[in-house]
Amino acid sequence: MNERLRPLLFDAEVLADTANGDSALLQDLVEIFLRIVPPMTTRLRHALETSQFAVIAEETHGLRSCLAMIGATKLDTRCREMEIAARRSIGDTMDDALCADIEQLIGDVHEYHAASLRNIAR
Amino acid sequence: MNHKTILIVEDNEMNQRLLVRQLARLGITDVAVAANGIEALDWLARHSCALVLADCQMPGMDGYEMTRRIRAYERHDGPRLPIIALSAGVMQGDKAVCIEAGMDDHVAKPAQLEILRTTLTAWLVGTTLSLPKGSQP
Repeated sequence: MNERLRPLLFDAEVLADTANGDSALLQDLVEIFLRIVPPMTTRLRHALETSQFAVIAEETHGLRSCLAMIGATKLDTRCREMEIAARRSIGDTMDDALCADIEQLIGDVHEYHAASLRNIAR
Repeated sequence: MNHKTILIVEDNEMNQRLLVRQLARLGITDVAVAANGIEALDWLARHSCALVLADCQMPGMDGYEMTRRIRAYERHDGPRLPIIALSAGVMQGDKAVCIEAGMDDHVAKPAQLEILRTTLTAWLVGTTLSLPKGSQP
């Protein structure tokens, strides 16, 4: 699929609702997301590779807040399922593609942020 | 507007930022932030506050354990501090666990401004919180 035609992995309207019309807060949330989610994803990937269930539960739980806030509902649901499995130490249901998909989301949020900054500059 | 300190106990920086801003929109600017239960107990040992908004799952010390320790302390000394759970719970019965730990109420994350206003109004006795114009649902 052409990257430009692929739908965004988050819902900008949910993000706007979360910020409740406060554009400064919206920008802050996006910038915090772009700063904290990449290292969380890296830690989750390592925890998955080493089957550290406590860390998987902790990181997926932390990611869920970030994903819910920007309307990345499907990824939030996948994190939720993985958090439940990790808390029960069920290793065979781990979602191997999750980290790659979150990284794709990070790319989408970067694009959105860059476009927002361009609009502000106009 | 009655300005009493509200303590936010939350490890996620996005949630911290959102809550501080939401409280400001409700007219509450006297806010302290702790990143986990240990930091919160340390802060409470040196300060007083009107209400605690606490995440349930946090590294170090979670909101449940923090609440149990606060309630244990209150059995010997001090009035009951309202503690509102902030949770994106995954397990069945999470809300019941909040109540069993001694929390008073529960708000789902990410918190919606109107729900936050309603909940805080119920627990901050004598305080009237109003949404700014244009924020009514």
